[in-house]
Amino acid sequence: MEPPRAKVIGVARHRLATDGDGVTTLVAFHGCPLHCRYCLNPQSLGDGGRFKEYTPESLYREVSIDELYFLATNGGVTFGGGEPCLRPQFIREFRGLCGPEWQLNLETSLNVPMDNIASLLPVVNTLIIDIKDMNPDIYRDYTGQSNALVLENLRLIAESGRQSDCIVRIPLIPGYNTDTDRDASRKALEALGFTRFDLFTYQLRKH
Amino acid sequence: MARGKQTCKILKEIRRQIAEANGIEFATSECRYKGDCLGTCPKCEAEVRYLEQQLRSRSIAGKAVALAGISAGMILMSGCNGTSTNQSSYTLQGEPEISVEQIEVADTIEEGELPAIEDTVVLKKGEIDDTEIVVGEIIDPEQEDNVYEAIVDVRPTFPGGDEKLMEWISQHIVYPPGCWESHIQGRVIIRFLIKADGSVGEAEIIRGVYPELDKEALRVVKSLPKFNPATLNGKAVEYWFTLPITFKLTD
Repeated sequence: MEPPRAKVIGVARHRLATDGDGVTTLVAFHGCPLHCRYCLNPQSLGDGGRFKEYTPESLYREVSIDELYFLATNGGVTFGGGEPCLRPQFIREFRGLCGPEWQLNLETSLNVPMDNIASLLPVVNTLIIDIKDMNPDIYRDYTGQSNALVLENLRLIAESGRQSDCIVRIPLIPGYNTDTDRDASRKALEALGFTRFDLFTYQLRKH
Repeated sequence: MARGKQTCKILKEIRRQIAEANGIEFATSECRYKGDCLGTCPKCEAEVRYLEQQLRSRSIAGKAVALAGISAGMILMSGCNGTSTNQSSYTLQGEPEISVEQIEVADTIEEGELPAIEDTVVLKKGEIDDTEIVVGEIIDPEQEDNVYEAIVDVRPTFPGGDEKLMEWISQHIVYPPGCWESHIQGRVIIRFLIKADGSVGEAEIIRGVYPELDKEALRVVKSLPKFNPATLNGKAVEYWFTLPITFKLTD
């Protein structure tokens, strides 16, 4: 069977406690179901951007240059993007190649089919979840999409007892939500058993 | 410029801890790299390969290898980031003639170096560059102070290689007389676009020193002959190239 291939918009080495603990390499996939107003990596959208195609093996060969740092610091690879959870087969095969010792993290919106999350949970250590806002109307305003899948996936994670492996980012999105909305999001997440939050404000960029 | 230096310091400290935990003699040398530190450089990479090889031979000899998590927690609060790319640095010596050297042996402590191996780095949060790197963000090349690791298979090369590039620059650059007389020196960092046909397009100063030095650096870079362009999947693509040019007057 052909190995899964994935378009990658960037590989950034030696990130220190930015995308997970320890020394990490960020691998940013092309492609995302959302169209967020303040997208950080808009080159992940559309076809015009520059990307490189990898197989799990070619990616593993490239990033294993930093294995020593990964092992010594409990670091590893953070898959972001774009939306990494659109590539479950790729990430599962990558786990098979790198073995159990590397930390694999996802930086995800969770706005993907539940099967994707179900197949990724056993192979990743940490999920950094960008929740946007739990309020469906705010979510749709900001991303152009429904958050029904996000809510289902949060429940799936909760049922799997993996809440403590998640860091939920609750942003203040200028022009879209308020601190009151964020409190409501946080309470809803706490009710599902999530305990680790990262409250921050989206930075507005020119594009 | 602090980010790369901080990354370099932290990575070096991790290497030191790995060596110490495994009884590996680790005589790290000071970084001689004269370009802006990107957190890693060929010398730092060579130290990693050395440690790997030492750990392998220990493992083959049946000795225990201590690695997992030995430096965990060290960088928890650092919030610091670095990327790597290949970048060349050119030192231009003024008076009486301009010569260029890619990597120069420094006898003073340079940016990005640890003064000596026995000086353990203790990282405090305040020490870290406060430029925020956002979770999941691939650094935008438009942002100052960043090295953008563009996705290409083959980076652009100057015909004849780096040495020819240095030679070309040293032959064509003129130390602005006013700056020479006033002893104005320093490092100008320039970023320029190498287009898919190899020609140099836009160029901009990322960090300037003095208007006349900046202008001269820009002039020379813009007059560079064609490069062999970067390629991606066999196709020529454009590439932003970062080049520090140091104007330095010798005594």
